[in-house]
Amino acid sequence: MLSLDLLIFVSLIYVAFLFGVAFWAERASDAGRGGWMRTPLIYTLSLSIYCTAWTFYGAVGFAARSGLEFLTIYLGPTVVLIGWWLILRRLVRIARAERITSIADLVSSRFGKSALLGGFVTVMAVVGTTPYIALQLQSVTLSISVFAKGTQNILSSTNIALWTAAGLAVFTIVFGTRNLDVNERHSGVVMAIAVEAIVKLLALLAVGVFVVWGLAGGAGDVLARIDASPISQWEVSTGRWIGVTFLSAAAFLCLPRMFQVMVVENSEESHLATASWAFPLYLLLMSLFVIPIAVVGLDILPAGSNPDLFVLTLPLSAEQNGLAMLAFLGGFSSATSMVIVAAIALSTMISNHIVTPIWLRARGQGATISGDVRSVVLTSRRISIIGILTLGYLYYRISGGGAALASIGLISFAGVAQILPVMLGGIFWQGATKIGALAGLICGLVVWSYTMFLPSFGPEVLISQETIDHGLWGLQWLRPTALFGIQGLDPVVHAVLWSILLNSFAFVAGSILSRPSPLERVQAVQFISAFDSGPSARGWQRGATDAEDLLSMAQRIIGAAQAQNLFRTAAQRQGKQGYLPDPTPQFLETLERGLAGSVGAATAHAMLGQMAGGSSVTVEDLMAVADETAQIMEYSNQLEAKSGELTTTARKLRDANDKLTKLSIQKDAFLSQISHELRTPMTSIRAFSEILQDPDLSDGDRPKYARIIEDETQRLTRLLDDLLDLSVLENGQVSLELRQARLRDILDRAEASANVEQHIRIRRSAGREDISILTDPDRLTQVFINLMSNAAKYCEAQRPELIVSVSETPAAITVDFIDNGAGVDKANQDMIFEKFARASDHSKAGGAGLGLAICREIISNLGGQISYLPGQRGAAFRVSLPRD
Amino acid sequence: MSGKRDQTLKRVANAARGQRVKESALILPFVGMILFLLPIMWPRSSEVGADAGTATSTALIYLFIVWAGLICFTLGLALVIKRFGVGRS
Repeated sequence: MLSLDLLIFVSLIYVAFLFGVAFWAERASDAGRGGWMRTPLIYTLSLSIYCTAWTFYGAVGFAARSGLEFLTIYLGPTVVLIGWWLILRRLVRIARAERITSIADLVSSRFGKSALLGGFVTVMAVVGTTPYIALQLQSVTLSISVFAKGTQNILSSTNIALWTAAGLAVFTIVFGTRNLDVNERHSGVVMAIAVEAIVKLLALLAVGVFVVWGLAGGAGDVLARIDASPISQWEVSTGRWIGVTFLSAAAFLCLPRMFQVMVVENSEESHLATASWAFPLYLLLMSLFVIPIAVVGLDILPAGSNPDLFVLTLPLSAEQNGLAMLAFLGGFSSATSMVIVAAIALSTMISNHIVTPIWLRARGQGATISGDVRSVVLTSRRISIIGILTLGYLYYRISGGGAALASIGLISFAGVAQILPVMLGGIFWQGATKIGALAGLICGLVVWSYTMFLPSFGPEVLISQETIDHGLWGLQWLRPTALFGIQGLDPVVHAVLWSILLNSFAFVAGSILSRPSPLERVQAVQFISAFDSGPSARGWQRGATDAEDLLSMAQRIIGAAQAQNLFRTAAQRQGKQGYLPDPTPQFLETLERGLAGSVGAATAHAMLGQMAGGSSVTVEDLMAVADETAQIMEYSNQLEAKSGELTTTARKLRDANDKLTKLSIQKDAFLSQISHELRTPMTSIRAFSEILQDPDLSDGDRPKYARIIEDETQRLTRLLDDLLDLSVLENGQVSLELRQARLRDILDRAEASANVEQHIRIRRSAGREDISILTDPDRLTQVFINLMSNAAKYCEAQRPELIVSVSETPAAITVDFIDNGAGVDKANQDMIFEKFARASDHSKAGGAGLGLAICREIISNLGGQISYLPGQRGAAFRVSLPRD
Repeated sequence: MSGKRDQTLKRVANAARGQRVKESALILPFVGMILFLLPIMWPRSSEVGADAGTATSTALIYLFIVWAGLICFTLGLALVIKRFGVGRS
């Protein structure tokens, strides 16, 4: 018999060896020599954490109790792996693209980065995994107790479980939380579990070979023994065969530790292709000798021996101590590797989805210092690992370690399988929503707890016998073992059937009845179309960042001098010369903060993410970038609007300035004109006054000169009158005396006053002039007189003639004055209405050139307009007057 | 000219093979599932009597042969996929 002390000594050496392997692998990986560790073989071996102590010891027990049914535990994962193209490939692709760190992260991320869902899945995973960890502790304890039989030792079974849990916690903390890796990969741990995978396979194969060819007489003899054994007949239940195969397949996808090694630690998609055949092969080898061991054990060992321990007790019974030791190490490996990876996966989930969100919320705004977050995350992970192992230990103590290994494992499987509908729905169904996912998960968790988890502690522990027998609140159809009155089903099949069915139903119904948020929609598209986004089959390029690239980018953003300064300071801090520091996370953080000042936090993060991570930008990054861009665009739009306003104002100012300049020129011209106009009569008045003073002047000339002086005075007076009139009109100070008058009367009066019949013949159409009009008749008469006398003055036809024609439109009355003269030159047409403008010979005009200007002012004061009408026989003026 | 045509033919052949491989990869798990579930329809001695029932050793041999066969097929597919890079386009 192997001594217990030797066993413990060898175990400790084995543990030390594993520490060494993990430590060496971490060192190699840090030094960049870890390439060979990311091979398909290591990946496949790491998947073997699926084969825990439950399968190592428990499979034989399972087979001894129910024959071939134990195979279902392996067939489910086999189907999943040979179907890798359908589900696993998609999961790995999505996890890579979205930087998924755990199954909780996957669900949370898919449904709009919901913290609630992440937390919920984490809680489910912890609840589902705790029995499993208890199971591993139990199996280690059981296996040691086999060796302790008959010997006196201070180690009680409780002590063994406690020490095992403590040792595993230390190992996990040392290698699982040594540092924070963005990809959550742990090369040391993966290497250690790969070694353990080989040890447990070799151990089981060695025991199997020994049993078949050592204890039994070869393959033929074993087959004969099978036929003669209690399990010789094919008696599996259809429901359990299908149910447990499905359950193991579901658990294989959903177990946090499987997700960790299969999806998160996957560094290359092509590794899946290798694992697709290599891992089923591993499973086949693991189960190849299970039935022979069970059958020979049942045959050889005394009745009542625990079949869960045949793997150990068969070699021991044959005095094969070395083989027994190897078998023990195999079982020990199975238990420890599972616990380590499960603890890492769960602690990641707890810290990322429970502790950090709560801590960030508690910290409020000040949580942007990532150094702080790092220490919080690491601490929370370490505490979580201790907490998880404590929970496992407590479950082991409470459940008493009595139940058969297999049943505990199935409870755990069914618990985590509740995540399956949401996970598959999330990656295949775009319409799945957060509300649906939450409804499904809650429903699944409740049904599973009620039908499987709570009863597993035994009656009267968490659920009363009364409830088990007669249902909740005495409702028969709510019995935990016969929901909805369906009896006779195997308890496992019953629980899995109802929990998964109701879970899926709630998930689908909730999704259909609710509407996804915008972020959910975006994430849904990202997940569903994982294969449409081009080749992303590359691995993450760790350390691919070139400091030089970073520098050239930074220079472009924050300016050369500042960027160089930042880089040099960072290099000095790292103890390096020059401008190029190592792109460590700390430096990248500093740089990101530096860049964020210029381009905004999200843009800086996205830019560095692209350069440093080699991975794609997340939707959140993009949305934040879009937000910033929108802000910048809005600001730019505002600037543009302001600039437009300024341009308009400037144009108005320029126009006003032009007008002022013109007015000033006009004023100057007016002054010079007026002084000229005033000066001419004054000159002649002065000249003739001097002549009149001449005593030699004849009496005949005196009255002649006096008349000239009078004429000039009258002209001066008229000019001043006109100027005054124009000034009044232009200033709008004129008071109009509006009243109803007949157009014909006004024209008659004008014709009479103009007194031009000896110069020009005026032709009128009396019939049309009989129009009543609201106007100032005196002022209008003044305009008509002016137009008539102008025609008389300027018309140079042989027989001058002026046609005055009146016409009516609904809006206005127009009076045209058309003569048969030469008309006005095109060049002068624009200026005839200006002051002192004269189209032709100065001498002919009696006035000062203010007539038409006055006319224009009068008509515009009356609300109408006067214009030159080109293209007529001679000069033509049109006066338009508004109707009442 | 002929070189170009050969290339085109090669590309067409590659695409066709890619399609075949993809379809096989999709069908294989379903084939596996059916083969693994077949034994539940076999007669049980508890139902048809001890002589007509199925022996565990028969079922054991059947399941392991199916299992090994599936592994071989998957291995073949994996090799083809790795060699020609299906799905990497």
